[in-house]
Amino acid sequence: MLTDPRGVVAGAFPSLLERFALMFCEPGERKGLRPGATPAFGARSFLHGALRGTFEIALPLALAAEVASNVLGETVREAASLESREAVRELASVVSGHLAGLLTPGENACRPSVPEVRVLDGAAWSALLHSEDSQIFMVEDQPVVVRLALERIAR
Amino acid sequence: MGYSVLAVDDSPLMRTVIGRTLRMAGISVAAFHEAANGREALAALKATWVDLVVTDLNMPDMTGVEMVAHMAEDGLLKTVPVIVLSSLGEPGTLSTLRSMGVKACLRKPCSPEDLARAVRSIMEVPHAH
Repeated sequence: MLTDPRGVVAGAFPSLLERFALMFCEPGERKGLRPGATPAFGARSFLHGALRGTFEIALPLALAAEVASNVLGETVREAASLESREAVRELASVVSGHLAGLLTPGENACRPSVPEVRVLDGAAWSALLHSEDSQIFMVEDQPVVVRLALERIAR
Repeated sequence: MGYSVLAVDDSPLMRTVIGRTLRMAGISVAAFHEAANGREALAALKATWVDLVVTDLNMPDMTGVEMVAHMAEDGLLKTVPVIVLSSLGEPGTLSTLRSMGVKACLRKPCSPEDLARAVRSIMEVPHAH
């Protein structure tokens, strides 16, 4: 029995972000967001096993640097640094790992791939933002987009 | 005299965090080795003695589970304490890891205190004051 994916993301992501990077977020809206106005990192991993799908997360470079700073305990000044990129990849790994477990509780049948990170151009940022599978979270005035698209459930 | 520790994680950021956490917790680390996956870790373990391994599971090339399985089959490496630090929490996988000798399984995101507590418990290190 599959738990509601949107509900799982909405319930799990704020807590995971807080524990991972000491950051607080709340649900946001697409309205007013201007994709492409600021460069962003996007990380993607694929869920495989009984449950198949795609997990993506995107956040502005400046916010990624804040995540890296909080994880490392020291200021990361360069937004597009390796530390920022790695922080986004690790955040994606942590969140996708937890979601996989929450979506198939008690089973041993769903596992995420190692996330890949890229810099999103305006079109990619916009597509992710407007995907029907995406959910928006706001860390103060900066958006985090989380997308979980499930393809198939094997029985 | 400090411990020789091997951190195995495909994220250099997390390897850095592991090293800092151990040092900030007052655990004496004489040598800190790093590996980006299980294969690199096994090579490092054959080249140098390590007192403790802290490993992720979901890594490219060779996963943490595969690495632990190789260690369990090696007469010498199976005596090296292993702590798993991963976002994956499948009960079956964790049970398998424990059966192969893993001392502790921690779930990311894990607090520095939790990691330090596990290391102290396994290595019998007294609390820092």
